Amino acid sequence: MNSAPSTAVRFACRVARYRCALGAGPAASAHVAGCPACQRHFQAVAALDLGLRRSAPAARPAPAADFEVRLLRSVCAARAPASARAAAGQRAWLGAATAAAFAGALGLAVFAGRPAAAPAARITPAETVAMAAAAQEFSSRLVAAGIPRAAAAVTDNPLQHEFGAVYADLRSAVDFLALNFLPQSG
Amino acid sequence: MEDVATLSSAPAASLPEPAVAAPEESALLRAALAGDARALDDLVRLHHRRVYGYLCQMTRHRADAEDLTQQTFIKAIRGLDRVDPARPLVPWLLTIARRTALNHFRDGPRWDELPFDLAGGEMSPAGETELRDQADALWARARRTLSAREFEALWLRCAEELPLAETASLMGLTRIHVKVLVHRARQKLLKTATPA
Ligand SMILES: [Zn+2]
Repeated sequence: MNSAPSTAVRFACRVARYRCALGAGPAASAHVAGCPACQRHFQAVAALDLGLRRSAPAARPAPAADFEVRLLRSVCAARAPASARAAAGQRAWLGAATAAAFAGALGLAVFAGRPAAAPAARITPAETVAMAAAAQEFSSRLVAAGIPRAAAAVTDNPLQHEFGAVYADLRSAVDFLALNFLPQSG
Repeated sequence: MEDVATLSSAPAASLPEPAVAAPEESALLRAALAGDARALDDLVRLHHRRVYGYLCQMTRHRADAEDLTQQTFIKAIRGLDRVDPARPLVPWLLTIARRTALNHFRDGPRWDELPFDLAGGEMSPAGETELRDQADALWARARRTLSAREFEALWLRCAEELPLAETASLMGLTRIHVKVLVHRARQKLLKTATPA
C-alpha cells in the first residue's frame, strides 16, 4: 500500500526534470535542490552530454578520401559562371551609363542647336560652359568610380575588349560635348 | 537556495551557446567576400566534413550525402554575399544542407523512414567493420533509440554544438520544442544506458 507515495515522488521528479529541461521555474529549482534523486539525474544528464560531445567526432562519418578534391572542383566550376555573371552585370551597367551619356549629349545638341525661336530658349555661352562642365564631371565620376571596379572584375576576361569599346564610346561622348558646347578659346 | 541553473549538473548549463564566428573563419569569409578564391576554398575545406557528417547522419546514405554536400556548397557560394562575417558560418551551411536534403527527398521516403544501415551495398567492407565497432557507442545507440527529430535535435545541440536559437531556426521549430526533443532524447538514452 505504500506504492502510492513512491509514485507521487517519481511524478514530482518527472515534472521537475521536465521543467528544468525547459528552463526551470522556481518550484522545480527548489525541488531539485532538495531531491538527491533529481541531483543524481542531472549529474547523469551532464555526463551524457559530455559523452555525446566527446564521441561526436568519431560518430561523424568521414567522406571518401577523394571527396574534398571533387568538392573543390565542383565549387570552382560553380564559381566561374558566377564571376562571368558579375562581369556581365558590370557590362550592362556601363552600357546603361553610356546610353544615358549619349542621350544627354544628343538632348543637349538638339536643344542648343535649335534656331532661336524665343529668347527664353536661347542658351548663353555661360550656360553652355556650365552644362559641358557638368557633363564632363559626370563622365569623370563614371570613369573614376565605375571603370576601375569593372576593369578589376573583367581582368583576364574575354569581355575586356568590349569593355574597352564602351569606354571609348564614353570618351567620345564627352569629346563631342566639349567640341560642340565649350567656347572656342582665342 | 541554489538555483537549478547554477548547478553544474543542470541540463541548461551543459550545452554550449556560441554565437560569434571564430576570428580565423571571419577573416576567411571577409577575404572570400572580397573575391579571394583561395579563402573560399579554405572555407570549403574547413566546413565540408561537418556538412557531410550532418547530411550523412540525416540521409544515412553516403553517396546522397556527397551529392547534397556539393549542392550545399554551390548554393552557399552563390549566396555568400548575404552572410554576416561576424556570425558563425556553420548554422547557415547546415540550414542550406537541410533544405537541400528535404527538397531531394520531397518525393521519396522521409528521413525517419530511411533504413539505418546506410543503404545496402553502399558501404565498403571497412565501413561496415567501422559501423560494427561503433554499434555500442553512444551515437549509434542514439540512432537506434531516438526518433529522427529527437536524433537531429540532439545531434545539432551536442555534436554540432549549435546554439538553441540556431537549432530551432534550422529545424523550423520553436526553442521550447527543441528543448522538449532534447529532453526526451536524453531520457530515452539514460533509460537504455547500461548501469555502471
Ligand atoms: Zn526529484
